[in-house]
Amino acid sequence: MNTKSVGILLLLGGLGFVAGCHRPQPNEEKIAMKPPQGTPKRPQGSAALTVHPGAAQPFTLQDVVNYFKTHNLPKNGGDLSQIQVSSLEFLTSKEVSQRLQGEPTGVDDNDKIGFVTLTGQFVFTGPSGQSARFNQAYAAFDAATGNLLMIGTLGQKQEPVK
Amino acid sequence: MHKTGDVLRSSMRAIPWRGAIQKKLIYAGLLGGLLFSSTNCFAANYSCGTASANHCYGQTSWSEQPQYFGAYVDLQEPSMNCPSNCGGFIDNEMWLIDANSQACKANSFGQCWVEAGYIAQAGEGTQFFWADSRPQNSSTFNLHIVGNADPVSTTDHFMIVKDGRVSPEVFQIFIYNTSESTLYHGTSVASNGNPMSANAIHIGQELAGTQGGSAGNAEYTRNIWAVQALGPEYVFWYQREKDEGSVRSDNPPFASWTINPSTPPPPEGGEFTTHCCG
Repeated sequence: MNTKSVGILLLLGGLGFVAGCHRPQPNEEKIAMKPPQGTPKRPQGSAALTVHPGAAQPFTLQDVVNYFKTHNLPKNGGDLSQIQVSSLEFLTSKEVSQRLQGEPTGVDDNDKIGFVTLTGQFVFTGPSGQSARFNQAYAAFDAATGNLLMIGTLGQKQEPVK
Repeated sequence: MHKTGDVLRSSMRAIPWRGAIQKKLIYAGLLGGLLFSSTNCFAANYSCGTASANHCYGQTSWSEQPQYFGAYVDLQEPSMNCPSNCGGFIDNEMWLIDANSQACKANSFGQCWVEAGYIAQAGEGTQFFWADSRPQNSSTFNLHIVGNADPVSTTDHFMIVKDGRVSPEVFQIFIYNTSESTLYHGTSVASNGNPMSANAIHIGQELAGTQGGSAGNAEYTRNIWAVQALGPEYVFWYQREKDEGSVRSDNPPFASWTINPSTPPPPEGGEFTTHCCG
């Protein structure tokens, strides 16, 4: 066998090896798992406000103002001292969801929620550290328990966070 | 009558190499004290999140699939604490992320995600939560605190899956334990009918604040991803993660693989571990 033949064989062998390395692996079979089948619990939220039984409203704007003197919004990197309470309305869960462009509250449509709008500095951070700063936010309190059910941003972000 | 101390002192004087023993005992005591205090006594200080500083992460991420229709993890609950002066929070969680779709790149964060886990906020107990950053520019970010977390050492299950049974598609979020005595559910809806198309999954720990946070070892097992949307048969069709992904350990939080996901199951998708903060 001459040198040229050996070279060709080596070249073909090399090509075959490379092709073998890059051959797509057969698709792994997918496996089945059943999602949970039970009836989900009603969200409990986080203990926050005290409900006044028999009063015209379960809690007042001043109750909410007092709460935000000592409690920041969960996951908010903004300064607590800048939070101002703008409004408190008692809405149905369905109305709150409509205000939030379809975001469900997790409670029944007709359940009452104390919907609070806030101004200040609200900074939330994504999964790899990307932040966005807002100057409007909301907090939704369960009217039956005073617990904080959900929070979030309103309006568009402000200047980018460095 | 001799006092006990006198007896001891006279005994030590009788031993010619007592000085060497005393020195060794002192050094051993100092070393032991340092080791003990470094793990238990000093509250950890860190720089993980003011309005101008990013949070810290101990996580791994996968992004090799064209689309992840969902994600799932078994997560054992460790003790977790963020005292009232911690200045932030600490959580263990899973994120399903879309950083590619036009509507997501255009939202306030430059990406969409759905996340689920448990969180210890400043001065509060540990609670289950889920949140979303939606492909829209108003009401973009929403965080749901659903209830108190299960007792320490409980293994909870976290599932996020695109639901193809409805149009436009939504994402279903389930937080539950094996008996389903704990079962919370949420739905992430995009108001513009343009759901995210996830191109990444992250699992791990997020730390915000400056001091005092702590979390025991959390074990993330059954790291699997949905290969298709939920259909009428109501099945989470999945494959397991088979590589380590891209590990980020900001120390704190501390994160590493304790069982490589390439290892044949069990556990499916290996075992990832995080802890914090000292």
